[in-house]
Amino acid sequence: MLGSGHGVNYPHAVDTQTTAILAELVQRERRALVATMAKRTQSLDIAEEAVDRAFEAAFAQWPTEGLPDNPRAWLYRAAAHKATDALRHHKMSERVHEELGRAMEPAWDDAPDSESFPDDQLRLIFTCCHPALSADAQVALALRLLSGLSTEEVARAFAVPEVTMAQRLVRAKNKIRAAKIPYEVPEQSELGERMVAVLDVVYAIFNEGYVATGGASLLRVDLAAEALRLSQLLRALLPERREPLSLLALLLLIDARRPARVSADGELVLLADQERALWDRPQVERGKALLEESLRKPGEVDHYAIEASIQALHDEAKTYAETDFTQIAALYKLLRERADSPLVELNEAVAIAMASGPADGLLRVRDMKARGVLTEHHLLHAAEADLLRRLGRTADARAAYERALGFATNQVERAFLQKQLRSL
Amino acid sequence: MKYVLLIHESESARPTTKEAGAAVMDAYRAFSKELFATGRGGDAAPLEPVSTATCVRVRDKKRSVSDGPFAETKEQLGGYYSVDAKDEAEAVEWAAKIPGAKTGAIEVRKLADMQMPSMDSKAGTTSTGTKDYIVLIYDREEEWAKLSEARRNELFTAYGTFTTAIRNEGQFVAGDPLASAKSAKIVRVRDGKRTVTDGPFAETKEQLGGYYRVRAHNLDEAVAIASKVPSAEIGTIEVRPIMDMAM
Repeated sequence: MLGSGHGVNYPHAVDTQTTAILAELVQRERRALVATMAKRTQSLDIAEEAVDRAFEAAFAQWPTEGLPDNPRAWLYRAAAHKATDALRHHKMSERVHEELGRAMEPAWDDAPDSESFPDDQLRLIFTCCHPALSADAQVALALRLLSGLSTEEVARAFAVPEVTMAQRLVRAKNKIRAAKIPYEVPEQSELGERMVAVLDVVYAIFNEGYVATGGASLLRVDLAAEALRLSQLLRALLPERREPLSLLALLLLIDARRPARVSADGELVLLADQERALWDRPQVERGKALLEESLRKPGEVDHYAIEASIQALHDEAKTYAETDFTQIAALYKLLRERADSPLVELNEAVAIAMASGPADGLLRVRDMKARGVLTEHHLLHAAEADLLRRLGRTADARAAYERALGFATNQVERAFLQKQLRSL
Repeated sequence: MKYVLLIHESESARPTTKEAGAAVMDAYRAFSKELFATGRGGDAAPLEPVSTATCVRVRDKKRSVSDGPFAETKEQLGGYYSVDAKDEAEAVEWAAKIPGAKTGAIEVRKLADMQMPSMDSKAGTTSTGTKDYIVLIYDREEEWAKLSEARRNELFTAYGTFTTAIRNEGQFVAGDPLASAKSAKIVRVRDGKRTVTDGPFAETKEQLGGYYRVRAHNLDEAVAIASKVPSAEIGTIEVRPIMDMAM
């Protein structure tokens, strides 16, 4: 429920129907309101505060006075008034104040909604995911300002104390203000690069939701859902672009397997052992349709589309053994040619092992080890252990599982590795 | 002879109360007044904390932008004065009078001996919606020493072209190329006692080799300027907002 969730102090409401409408408005309109106010006040703090106070006023008045004719316009006007007040009290030069005062003038009677001012929302997105902010800060700001999660919720999602998260957010907002990170959609020449940075933030949120580092629960459903929502928003805001489409396809294709990824007793289930009947088939189809739409666009295929193609092959296979691993290995190779990364290389090695036998896979993993790649990551040792197990080299496999355990931090993943070790 | 006095101070030692902050500001105002009354003071600016810094590098024509200052040091560059002194001893005298000398350290750097286009600023007073940024150039001095004369001249020419370009755009406010960090003097005052040691101030591979003070509408514009500094292709450029207050 709402509670302190959004930084709004909701009075005890009596009219549950009005409260329900308001709760929905908070969910749907907060981002658009903050984006528009931020554009006009040039201050995230003032914008957030004004929007939260406007919602607070609505919670206080609407249940007793009844719903206004146009709730959205009411909220915009209220937020604009609060923002103007805040600007007046804010220590700033007369000149700046005058300019901002003028910027706040537009009337809100034309009832903007969450679909209006898409440019304001894009501005906010590009500000939150500005490369001059640390990766941690980008993710935190995106969740706070774009998804509207409370500071406490963002802190919980990343398993850090609330104070730490609050400081991270304050620091990031201070930098935005002091260094004057603009509320602007980048110029066409930079848009591509900057958009990729935004998509990377969304993908990071999704991954964090999928495998929580150090957390007790492997699945953070809420973060994955937020990432999907943001991904949908980006696709809607940048309809001409290929990459947002590819990312959305990728997230849908991975997320479709979520119901089968953790067993009833909370244990991790590997792709090979998952109950495929549990997969969300309609979602797979939606993901595949989006992927095809992305692949039809002219120009070079992006790396999200390649990753989505890999996931689609997994989703299409009737059984793990029937998966087209030859093609998957080829796609990983293609991916590495685009942007080489140790984890992609490891995935390629695993696909090779499936396509042409564990010995070939082991050769690749050993080669990575020799080059010192991922030697301190549990996934490399876990992959090596699995290949050794399949080759019947039990003692070597045991040693590799133990190495993997030395580096794994997620409790669900640790439990899985311990189980594998015991079963040798 | 022109010198740049760089104020290095631990940011954690910055005043936390309003009163203490006002006292520090008063001390700086008094120093500025004394310096500028002599007509020997050049440019001066207090910098925003390092948490507002952004680094820019250009490699293979590709620009990378990241959060954070160039170096994570105990004491950070917090501001600077440029002075016209008759010799190093006089520059050290001025440095010792800077309030920050009592809590941090003042690095006295001579200007590099090189021909640059006229450094007169064409930028007007801060116009609506603009902000000043300092563009700090961190270079490997040994790399410069290793360059062939032809390549070095090429870079000097590039600097000249760049400076002229930002001057014509009205983005240039001030800027100086600095002599080797090894030639720096570090001035500290503790309990009224002055100590002067030889530089460099920090034992880092890349050293502050010069700076520009530029005027831009926002960080993106400042970063665009920074990425055109010739050294962006070999070293690191740090962009930091200058505080909106007179010093």
